[in-house]
Amino acid sequence: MRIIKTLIKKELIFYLTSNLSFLSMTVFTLCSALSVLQTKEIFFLNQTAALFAYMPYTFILLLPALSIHIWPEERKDKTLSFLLSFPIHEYEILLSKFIAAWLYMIAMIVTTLPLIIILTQYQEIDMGVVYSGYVGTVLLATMMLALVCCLSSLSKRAAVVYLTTFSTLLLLYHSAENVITSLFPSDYHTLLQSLSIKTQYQNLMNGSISLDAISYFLSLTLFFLIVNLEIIKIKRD
Amino acid sequence: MIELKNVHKKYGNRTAIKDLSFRIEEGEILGVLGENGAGKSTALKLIASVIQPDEGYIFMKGYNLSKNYIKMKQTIGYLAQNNPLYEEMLVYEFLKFVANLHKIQKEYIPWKIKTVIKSCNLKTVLSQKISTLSKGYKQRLGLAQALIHEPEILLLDEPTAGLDQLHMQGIQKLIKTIGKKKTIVICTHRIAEIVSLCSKVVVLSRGQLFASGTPDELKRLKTPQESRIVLEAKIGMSALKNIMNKQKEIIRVDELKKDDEYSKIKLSTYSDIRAWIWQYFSKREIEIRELLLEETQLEDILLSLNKDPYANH
Repeated sequence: MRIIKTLIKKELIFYLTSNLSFLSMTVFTLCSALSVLQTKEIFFLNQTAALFAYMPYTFILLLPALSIHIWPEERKDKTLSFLLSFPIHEYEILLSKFIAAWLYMIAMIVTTLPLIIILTQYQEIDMGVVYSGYVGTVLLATMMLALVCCLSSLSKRAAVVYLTTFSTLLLLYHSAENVITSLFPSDYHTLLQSLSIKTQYQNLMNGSISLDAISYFLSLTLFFLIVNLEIIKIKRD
Repeated sequence: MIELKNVHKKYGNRTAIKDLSFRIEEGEILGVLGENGAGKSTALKLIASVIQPDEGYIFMKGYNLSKNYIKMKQTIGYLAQNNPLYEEMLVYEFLKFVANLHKIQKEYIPWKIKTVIKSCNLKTVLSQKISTLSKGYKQRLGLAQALIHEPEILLLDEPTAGLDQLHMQGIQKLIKTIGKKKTIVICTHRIAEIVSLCSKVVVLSRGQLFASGTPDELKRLKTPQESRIVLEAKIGMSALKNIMNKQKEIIRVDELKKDDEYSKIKLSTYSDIRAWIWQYFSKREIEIRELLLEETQLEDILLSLNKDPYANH
């Protein structure tokens, strides 16, 4: 536990001091604010729904940028080899990187709370939708983070990592759309739609926190973390 | 203390280490020598357990390293090639970070840091950001992090690479002091460093063991195969080269210097032919100004790796 704490602290120093994390935080906050403000009949429509509907796209845009720090930078600077020379397990490095990035991501989500507080001053808001929306956002972002962690461990080239993670996230989020499902036999369409990230996320956004959706996101998170661990073990150099 | 047995390591399709076996005894300072790409750094990474062998075994204090690497890493201090450091950290903060990764008891950490700061002479840069340090200080910091947990084995990959003469001497002096108490393995290109620091040398070529022994033993190993003789005589260069080229014992003649009267050459020969030269030139009353047998250097061994890479196959 002490090693994980030490490594998390090191990672958090990066998130608190780097230009990239400040820029990401600013872009995220601005995008969230714009998503609320762009709703056509300002203060009369359900703007909380707009906030949660646009948040996944902000993650799709920003998480790949953060993923560059997670593994590629560490591998490029050879500091991963440096860490691996210590009496620590690979899973400790992975968990600490994931937890630190997750805490940073939660901090980003927290910046949207003032928007909700402001909205409550002007309209009646269904707090159930807000709670389930936040649960959905956290679960979705956690799963997306695990995926970008995993993909970013495949290459040390920043541009390759950004493009790969960005396109994979976009493709997975829209995997239930007709363009994608049409590539598969019609028997699989219902299955693909029920397994789609967007479908599961929308269920939570609508105010229903189901155990199915929670276990869907958590099991995918766990799956990507396990794959990531195996990649680190294989790609040690 | 450390034994490599038939170790193989590949990076994709490229073989980095092939059937490598050698031993490192306790208290020894072992130098690992070889041309670029010989597998020196890979060998060190394998001993440091940063990577695992594809085949073969590495034993450390009797333990199989692949199965006990977490435990064994506690006894190893490793300074990697190019000395990767977290540049955004402060020197003290970095040493504290390293101490925590080694699970040094919290109450001992300030004392341990103080000790390595003193031995590596880092006091003046303690509150500086690592990115602002000079190459020499970064190398000292690299050594300090490798020493902080008082390891029994120290693995140093090019510890003086890129340093000026002054910093290099400082680091070498430090390694000599540490070497009195610890087992050290050094990878280096600098032959002078090997000669001055190491009690034993292993020479790698294309991932395989080419030779091993003390620096003196390695020099002797090369002597019977080739001798170098420097000759300066009062004769024209072309005439001198003509005489020498007729001698069967001579492998190669290299021009060194010529002036109006004297010519100087270096001869690579199969044996020491100084007696024959002396007799030949005396008979013809040609003055010899210099005739000496050059001592074989470790450089010759390295050069021979490039000339005849499959000599030991």
